[in-house]
Amino acid sequence: MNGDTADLGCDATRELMAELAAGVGPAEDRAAALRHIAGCADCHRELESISFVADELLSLAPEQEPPSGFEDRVLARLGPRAPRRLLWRRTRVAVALVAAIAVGAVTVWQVTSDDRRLAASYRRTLQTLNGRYMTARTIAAPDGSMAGRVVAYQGTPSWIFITLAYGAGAGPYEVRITTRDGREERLGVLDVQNGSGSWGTTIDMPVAGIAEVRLSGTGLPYLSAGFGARRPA
Amino acid sequence: MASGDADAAAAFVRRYQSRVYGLAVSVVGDSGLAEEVAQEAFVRAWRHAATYDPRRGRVPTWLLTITRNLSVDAIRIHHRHRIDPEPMLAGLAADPPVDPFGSHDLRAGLLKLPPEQCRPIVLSVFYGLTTKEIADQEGVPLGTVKTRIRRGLAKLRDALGVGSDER
Ligand SMILES: [Zn+2]
Repeated sequence: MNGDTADLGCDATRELMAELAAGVGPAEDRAAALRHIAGCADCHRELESISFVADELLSLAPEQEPPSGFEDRVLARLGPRAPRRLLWRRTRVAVALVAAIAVGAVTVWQVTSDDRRLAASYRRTLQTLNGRYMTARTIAAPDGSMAGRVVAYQGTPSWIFITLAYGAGAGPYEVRITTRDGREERLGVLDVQNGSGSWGTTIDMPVAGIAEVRLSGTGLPYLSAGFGARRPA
Repeated sequence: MASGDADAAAAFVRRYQSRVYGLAVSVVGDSGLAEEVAQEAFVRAWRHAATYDPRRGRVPTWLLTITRNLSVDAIRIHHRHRIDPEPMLAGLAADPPVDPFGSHDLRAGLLKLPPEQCRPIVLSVFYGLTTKEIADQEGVPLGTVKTRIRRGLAKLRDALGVGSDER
């Protein structure tokens, strides 16, 4: 990661896991921890499992019937509204947020007023889905070094988001995807400036069907991310 | 809402209302406030959900997470005093006659924890207190609170058999 803030490190991040799992604590601490987690597979797994435990604990709370008429009052509030649009808006927030975290863009955290909810939303996106539907892979440069990351999310809709920080080139990258059944599809164009850029799109194939994401552009190094191994990068 | 949606919404509310309201009232401790929280949780959850499949047996985790977050917001707005986790601890200890959610291992694991680990975990997970707030309220050093929560959660994770560092 190319953050201008020192990395928090695994030990300090582990100290904050409970607060991350509950979505509480000072915003700067959580931002620093999430930044570390974006680049550390071990801590990412740790957060997933701790969050899983914390969320399961909630289901142990004693049941109690609400006051009579509760159901009608809730249904009245649900009203004649289309849920889909709202879902999509939230998904986009989650996309932007996850992407920001993936690049280590701290500023997003600092300018966000409703930070606690966003942290919770990020965490939910990760593990609501229990980590099964979201995966992050390293984009490798020709010399084998890390050129960026691609985050893929399996959902409605599914999407991928790519962030690059490599070299100093500028120009359009063609983004292509190879599927496990051998098809190739052009997804779109990612513009880079000074070697950096980010871009995302919805995809109409299951994430599990992706074999490789490839980026090529005139005068730009060829980059690719393999989706073979399950382990997040 | 289309009539199919309305049916699904009604089924959704009916199915989970006692769990959502139960969590809310355990945290906020006031029935009027708990109803507000529970209503809001269903409204948000319903808008958030792409689909609700009534055949799934479990409470959607996110439904309870939303309820918890709203409950925490509510107690932060409405009360500022010290939080007493004892009623919640007593409620957690009361094993339901039937445990349809397969949460037996977790409940047993929680009850086996020493109280000094169980209390801060409950204050953190259910009431949304920060480790600093727990340290202040319980009169225990911050580092000690962090260690206790960490050890306790690690044991619960083992009880559930979900991954750890060694995986
Ligand atoms: Zn780490």
